[in-house]
This record gives sequence, C-alpha cells and structure tokens, in this order.
Amino acid sequence: VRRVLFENSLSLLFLLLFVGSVVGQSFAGQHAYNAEQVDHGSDPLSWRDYVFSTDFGGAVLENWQSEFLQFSLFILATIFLVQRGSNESKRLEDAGLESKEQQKIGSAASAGSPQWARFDDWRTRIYENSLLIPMTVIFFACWAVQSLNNWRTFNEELQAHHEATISWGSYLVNPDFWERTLENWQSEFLAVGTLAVFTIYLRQRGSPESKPVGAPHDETASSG
Amino acid sequence: LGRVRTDSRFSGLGFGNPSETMRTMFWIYWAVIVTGLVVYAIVGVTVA
Repeated sequence: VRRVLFENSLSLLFLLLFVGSVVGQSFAGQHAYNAEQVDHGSDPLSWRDYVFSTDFGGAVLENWQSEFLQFSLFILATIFLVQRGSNESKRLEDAGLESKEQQKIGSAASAGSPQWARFDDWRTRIYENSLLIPMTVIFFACWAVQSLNNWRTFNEELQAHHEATISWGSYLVNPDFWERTLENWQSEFLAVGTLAVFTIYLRQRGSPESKPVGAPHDETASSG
Repeated sequence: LGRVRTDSRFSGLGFGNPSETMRTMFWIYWAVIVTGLVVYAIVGVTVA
C-alpha cells in the first residue's frame, strides 16, 4: 500500500489539493455570494444550492479553461519553438516533430512501446497527438461551459436591475465575458513564460522542472 | 495505453498492483474533468 501511494504521490497530492481547494472555494464563494444577496435584499443560498449555481460554475470553469489552454499551448508551442538555456525547452536542433527513430515510431518502436506507436499508420497519427487533442478539447469545452454559466449570472444581474436580458451569442462578445476570460489567460501566460526563462539561470535541486544545479546556463533541456 | 505489466506482489491488497493504480489515477482525473464539465453544462443550460 505504501509503495502504491509513493508511486502515485504526485497525482494523489494534486488530486487532494484540488478537492480541498474547490471545497474551500465553494464555502468562501457561498459566503461572498450570500453577503451580496443580503445587501440586495434577496434570500441567501444554501451551500448545496450555491454549488449548483451558475455563479460557482462560472468561477470554477473560467479557471479550468485557462489552465487547459496554458498546457495545450505549451505542449503545441514546445514542439516548434525553443528557448536556449531553458529546461522547459527541448534542444535547439530538435525543434519540430522529430524523426520516427527519435519518437520510437513504427520499426523504431521498442519492446515496451504502446501498440499504437508500432503501426505507423492512421492509428499512430492519432496516438502521436493523443496528449494535445484531449487537452485542447477540454479547454474549448471548459470555455464553452464557462460562457454558459457566466451568461446566466450576467442575465440574473440584468434582471435584478430590471434591464433586458441578452442572448448567449451577444454575451460571447460582451466585455464581461472577455474580462473573465483574459484575466485568467494573462496569468497563465506570464507564469509559463516565467518558468521557461527562470530555468535558464535559476535551479531547484532535485526537481525535473529544473536543470541540474551545476548545469551551465546555456545548456538547454537537461532535466535535473 | 499499451500493455501493462502486472506485479503479483501488489495484488490482493485492495489497491491493485502499481500498474493498475497508475491506470486508476488516469481515469480518476478524466472522471473529475468530465463530471465538472457535464454538471456545469447542465447548470448553465437549465438554471433559470
């Protein structure tokens, strides 16, 4: 049991952190939401009702979409773009999709290679993009669901102020939607860029996100 | 996701063997994402 926990400790930690954070967000969000409700003379929501509200749904999904966008773009960009000296970049001479030998495709597959890497036909074309495709699909799905929830919340506010509600299509070009979207994107892009650049000169002993402590600054892609 | 080697030392512990747990982690993450998406898609479409 201890070995199983150890071998999955990274994903288990982040799963626990996720659950703890989202539960914390729901309670904090409920309190903030209810404070506003009381200010406006409306009835407060129970925790359960708040969890299934568009206010909470929009808040959760707008952060999800930006994370999946970040990783999707990072996976895609790092195929073709490099940063000399960065651990987050591959070696400059490897920019691009790389050869079948490098990628262990078809006859270059090794004994433990996944079956779909061996065929070197349409199945391999799918499998060789099977990380990027779902991450991108999840991003667009989260973004769409965010927009639905934000739209409902936006209309509730309009109704509370006795104003006419707007269609989902109109909401997609509304500044409210783009503010909620871009405020999340900007932080992801800054963090990813920072990690790429910081790993040129800065180190964390033992972390695969860093180069080895003694690696030269201009050495690219040398995970520690 | 390819063939999974089993390790009998870890069978029968209720946690499965390490490879099974690896696969379980993969599907747990998928389940969390899909559940969130489906629940809030329904909320976004149906809540008045």
